Amino acid sequence: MNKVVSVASRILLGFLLLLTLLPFFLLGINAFKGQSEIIKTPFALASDWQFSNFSKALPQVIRPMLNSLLVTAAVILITLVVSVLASYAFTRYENFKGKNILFYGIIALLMIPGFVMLIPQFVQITDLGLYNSYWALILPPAAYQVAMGTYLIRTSMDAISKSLFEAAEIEGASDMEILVRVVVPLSKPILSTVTIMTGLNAWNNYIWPLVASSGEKTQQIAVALTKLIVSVSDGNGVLFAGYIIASLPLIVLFCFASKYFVAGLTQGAVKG
Amino acid sequence: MQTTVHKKKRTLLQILKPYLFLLPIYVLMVTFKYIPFGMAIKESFFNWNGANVNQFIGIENYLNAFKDPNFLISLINCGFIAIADILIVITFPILAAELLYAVRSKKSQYIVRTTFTFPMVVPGVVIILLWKWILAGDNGVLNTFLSSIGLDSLTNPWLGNSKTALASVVAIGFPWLGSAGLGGLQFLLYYGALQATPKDMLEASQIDGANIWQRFWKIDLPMLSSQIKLTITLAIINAVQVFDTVYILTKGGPGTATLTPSVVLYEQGFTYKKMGYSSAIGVIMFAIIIILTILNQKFMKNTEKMD
Repeated sequence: MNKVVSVASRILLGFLLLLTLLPFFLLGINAFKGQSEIIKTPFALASDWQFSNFSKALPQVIRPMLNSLLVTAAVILITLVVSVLASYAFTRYENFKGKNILFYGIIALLMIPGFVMLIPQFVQITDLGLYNSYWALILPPAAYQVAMGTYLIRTSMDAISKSLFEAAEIEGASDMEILVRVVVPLSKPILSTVTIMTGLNAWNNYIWPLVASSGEKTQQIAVALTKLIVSVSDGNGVLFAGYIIASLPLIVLFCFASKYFVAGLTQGAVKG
Repeated sequence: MQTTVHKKKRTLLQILKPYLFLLPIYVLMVTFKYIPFGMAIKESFFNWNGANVNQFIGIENYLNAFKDPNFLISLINCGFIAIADILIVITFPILAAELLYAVRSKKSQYIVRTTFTFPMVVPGVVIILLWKWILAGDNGVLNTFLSSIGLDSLTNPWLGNSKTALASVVAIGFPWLGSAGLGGLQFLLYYGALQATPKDMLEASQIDGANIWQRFWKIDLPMLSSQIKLTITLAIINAVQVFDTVYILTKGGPGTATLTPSVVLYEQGFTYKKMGYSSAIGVIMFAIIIILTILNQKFMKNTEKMD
């Protein structure tokens, strides 16, 4: 009886895995086909391999990808620096006036749905003359990420032994030295988690770039993918090639750091 | 004399220091989040176009919202999506986590989990666009598949038919394990919680001769209750705010079949420049999320802490 259950459960698991991967498999095989083959035999491998789909898609996605890379890197950098500084204040200083209120003031932001602020934020960046600029794409998302960043980094930093701070202080180390030499090295795992969490959110952001930018200058990859233009003769194969190119950077990163990706994906939700 | 001045200066700096470390985060958050949030609440009482028109009208925006048939339909659609999403996150991801946890070899477990995680790094927009192709009326993969197995009668422009559009929007990502926002995250959470089940509890249940079904109800489910509570809360928050999927797949159509509050907010604000009205819709969404989250926190159990 148990044997039957165990075999059946493996088959079911395998079936779920296959169904999960199927769309990506279809994406992969159809990216190499011409339009008529995609329509007639979507489930078969290409008989006439169209590698040119990729060279046709590349010019349309490369610029938005570089734009997204710049914005993502900046959001990660700002989030890490600002969250580490804030976390240090809460960990290092035992009692200061308003400590708890200041902490809740940061994490309270996580309760507010982004959509409430969408319209005023758009008006704000327009008034500041930042519409369609990189700063408009970087600062508001970073201002949101720092809340979760501080929450996660502080929790991890609180676990650092207080005697390490005291020892460093007796040695005459300044706050910046303690931060760079003691705190940051000991916080590496949580910093990688926050980096990945923030990076995925920034790279995948759709609604804010849709609102805060227009045209090619600062166009982000998520928006660009929905606006790819292909001729009738090229067909969907070129679109699919574009989707694959846009997914590659994260997939490559994932291959090297899958452990941190799992943490990055789940931690934010668990602690929030 | 000199030393006392020096000492005083140092203590003042010492007192100010934590605030200095908090200065960047507060400048950033207040400027780009809390001020816009305050503006949203204030402008929800104004007739505002974001520029030259800005006139106080009391609660008229709110009254209009509850008289606006589009907004009311969007609330009903949103309720449908919320219920469907809740059902999804408490079924497929739990099933997959249990099946994976039952695999004996740690190495196979790791490989399978990693394979499930891999699609989660594919941008969400790519997954949505992929499903747009699968569900397309002309030459969509699903229709081609149905025709090839002789079920021509079932072929349908899934997203273009107002009867199936909303269900199709919810169905994308089936079996809801591969994409972070559509069940994958929940799967990872459940699996993590199962791995944390104390081994002696499982052994005790085996000695007592509990079958799989009994073990699931008596041990696994209580172990997962914190995660279930969290995933239900997240499902509600996401359902109230769902935008990317709907906007990319159907823009709320056909007609009003898949209209959601976030799409109404977006269109009223950016297409019609009724930004005061749009802000009021945002505040209503905020209120709905807060109320449902509090109810959920209050009425659902957490995993009991073990000693």
